[in-house]
Amino acid sequence: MAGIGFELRKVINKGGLGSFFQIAMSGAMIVAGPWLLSIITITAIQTFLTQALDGGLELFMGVVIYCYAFSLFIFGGFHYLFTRRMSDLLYKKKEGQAFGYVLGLMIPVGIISVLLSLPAALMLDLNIANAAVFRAAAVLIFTVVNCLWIIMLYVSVLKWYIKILIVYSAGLGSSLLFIYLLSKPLGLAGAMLGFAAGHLLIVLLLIILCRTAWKPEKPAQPEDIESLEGFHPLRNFLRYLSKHRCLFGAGLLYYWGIWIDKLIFWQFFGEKVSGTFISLFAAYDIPVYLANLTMIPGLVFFVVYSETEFYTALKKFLFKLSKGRYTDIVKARYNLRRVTVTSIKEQCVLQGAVTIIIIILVESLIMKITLIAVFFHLLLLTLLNYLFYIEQYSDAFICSAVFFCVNAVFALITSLSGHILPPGFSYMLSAAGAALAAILLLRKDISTLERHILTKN
Amino acid sequence: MSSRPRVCIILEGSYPFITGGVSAWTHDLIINLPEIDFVLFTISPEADMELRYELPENVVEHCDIILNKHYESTAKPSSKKKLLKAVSIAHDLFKSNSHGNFEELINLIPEGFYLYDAAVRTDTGWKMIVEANQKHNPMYAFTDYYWAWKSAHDMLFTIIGSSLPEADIYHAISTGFAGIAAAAAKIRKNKPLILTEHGLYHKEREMEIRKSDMIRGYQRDMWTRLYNGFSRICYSQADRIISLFEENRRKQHELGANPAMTEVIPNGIDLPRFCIEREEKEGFHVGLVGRVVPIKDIKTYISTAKIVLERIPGAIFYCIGPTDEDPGYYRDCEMLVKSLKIEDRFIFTGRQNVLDYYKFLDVLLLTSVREAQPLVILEGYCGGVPAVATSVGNIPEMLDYDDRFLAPSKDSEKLAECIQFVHDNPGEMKSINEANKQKAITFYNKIDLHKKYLQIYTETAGGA
Repeated sequence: MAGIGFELRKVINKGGLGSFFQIAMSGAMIVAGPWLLSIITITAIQTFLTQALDGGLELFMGVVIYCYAFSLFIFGGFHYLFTRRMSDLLYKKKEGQAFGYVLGLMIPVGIISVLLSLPAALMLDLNIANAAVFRAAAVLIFTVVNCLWIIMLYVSVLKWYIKILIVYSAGLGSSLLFIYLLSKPLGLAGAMLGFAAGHLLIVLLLIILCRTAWKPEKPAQPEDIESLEGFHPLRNFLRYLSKHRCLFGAGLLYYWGIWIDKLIFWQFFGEKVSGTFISLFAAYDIPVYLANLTMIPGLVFFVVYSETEFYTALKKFLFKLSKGRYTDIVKARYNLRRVTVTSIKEQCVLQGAVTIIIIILVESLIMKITLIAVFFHLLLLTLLNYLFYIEQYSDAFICSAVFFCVNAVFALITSLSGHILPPGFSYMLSAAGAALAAILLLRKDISTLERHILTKN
Repeated sequence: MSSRPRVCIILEGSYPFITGGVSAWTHDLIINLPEIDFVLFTISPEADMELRYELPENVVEHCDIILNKHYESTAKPSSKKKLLKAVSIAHDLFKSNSHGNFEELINLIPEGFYLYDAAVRTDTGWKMIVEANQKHNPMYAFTDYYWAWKSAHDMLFTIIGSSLPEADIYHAISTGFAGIAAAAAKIRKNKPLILTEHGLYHKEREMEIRKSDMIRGYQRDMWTRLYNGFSRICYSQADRIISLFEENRRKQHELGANPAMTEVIPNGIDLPRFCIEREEKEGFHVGLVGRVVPIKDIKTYISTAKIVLERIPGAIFYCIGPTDEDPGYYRDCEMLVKSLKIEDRFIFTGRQNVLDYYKFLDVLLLTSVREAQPLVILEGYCGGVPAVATSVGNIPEMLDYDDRFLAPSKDSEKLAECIQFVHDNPGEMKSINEANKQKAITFYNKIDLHKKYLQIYTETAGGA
């Protein structure tokens, strides 16, 4: 994502409040687009279209949350793999193949999403009008969200932040319009269908956007078609998976780490939504949702500043490694280390300030703990990205494993011990522990970076 | 093991995949010692190379390894301490002119263990590379230094990690990687090592390095040190060191070979086969017997032919040997013949029975840039064919240091003068040819050569 960060920096360098606002909105959309969209949409529905969700808010919220949760739980591991593959193709200037890859991957992901969500939707024993439409809409939203994650990963490397912002705004507006129009005749089912349709529109608009990014200069030759990955996406992807097992594992366990405590608490403390298997634990879900919103400033800082600084320093190091004397390489490595430390410190100061201010303002203990957890979570995410940049996938896997295991264990302890530990504690401890592991591993990895790069071949 | 003596012959880039003097010599040796079981351990540049010789029945095993290939380790040192010690020695091995720690290195590494990764990934290995770079080449790009070191040493690691077949004697036909493999086998299996050098491996590599545009600066020193080191190690481990002629023997001493271990056993040829009756053929016929490859410098031959044809228009030139070893070079030679407009006088015969040509050739020309003790000159002598050749290897001694028949490398003009002398002095050449024939019969009989080697094998195996 460093490319888009550089574009955003150009805007912010122009100065002025307008530029700042542009960056904030665009950065937020890029880093947290789909999830942020759902929050804004639901908030807008609750504010302006209350009657659309009349008597079914819990069901609606439950389906949406479960769709997002399980989309990341099941497919999250593939996102990093996909990003890595995309980067390889774009580096080789094979935009056509990359785009083919996007489309090719969305097909099996879409099919698998339908196959997984359909039985779950059929299990919903709904006592609402047009229940079949609701079930279909639930399947659609799950499928579309999975496709949206994929297309967003591709779009984020294209650096078109304004166009992305426009598409999201159009999608949001369309969602609200569809909900308004469809809820009248179909009730809650129509609202769900409208919500899904809005997301679908975003996916379609983003596909069109991506298609315009790729203009083939000459007709494809037979040898190009043979090698075009879009024609055998699954086979090639599985081959890639076996080559980058640690990267996949790191992504998978990272997303499992995010959601495992919620899943556990839903089981132990959740209130069932009538007629469904869906359980929600509002006392924890809402603080987590809100606390994660506070990550946005830090995430935008990461995209615009931390990541671009790191990328620039890394690029300089790699240049020196390829052509420089050993003393030059060591100097460039020291610079990389300095930039890494500085960027992390500054990001922590910014996020820390946001966290402390909100901690002071809120009263809920769970909220306070979750805010601290989010602080460490952002730090972990930053460090994981740095580890990915220097291709230390096995170390990233270790950190994600710490995140997942500690969160799972302490969430279980919280659940079985009858609230000796407050909800959120496991999230906080696991994020802090994983972040600490990531700091130590990243420090070791940077100190031996030239050795790792030269000897891995 | 059977009761028949078992000799492991170790070759690099030669028999049975490449034709030439060394290959022919090896093939002859094996065929003419049917009482010995031979095992071939060959070191090749690539896999699945075509066999150019039908292996005799007494070749009971053939093991081929690819020099540039990274093999998976199937064993490991018994402790990490030993591994790190081995890494340390591997880095220091060629830093000085004494290589006493080679034995220690081999004793630390079991067969089947390859040091490729450990030599660079361990803290010890990496530190040593960095220190060496900082000490010797701090102003050069580090990656250049790293990859030069790695490519040189990885080939060494392939060799010292390889398992050689069991044998009573290990006989290396050069130093270099073959010599290292033999030295490692001697240490591990406690069996004697015999070394026969046709040319001098380290000298030949040094010449190639000097001519190469790709290897420059400190890398030349690194590679030269490496190859000299291989020869030193092999000399230090060998129980008997054989060269083809006295000058090479002296040069072996210069690089540390123990004079008491060294001896000269010249090449030998099949006298009954090559002592043939001449068949006079009209005209003046000049032949070069050899492969069409750069080392034979066929282009100089072609240029020489052009000069001779201006003086002796009726002369015919034959290039007698396979043309398929270096197709690109052969094409260049063909183009040169065409551009010099001598296609009707210059013939590429391909692989032939050389006897059919020795019968009528008036001169045997050898324009090689590198030779040891070329058998073709001896073959020609037996058939009454005088030789004109470049002054490389043992050729000056074989031609009695007679300037009338010797020329510097690539000196077409001088070579043409020599050929002209042969053409213009038939009377004198008759007596010279007779003397040459007697010399070949007396000193270069293959039967004596093979008897000598049988004696060496018997004595060495008995003493082991």
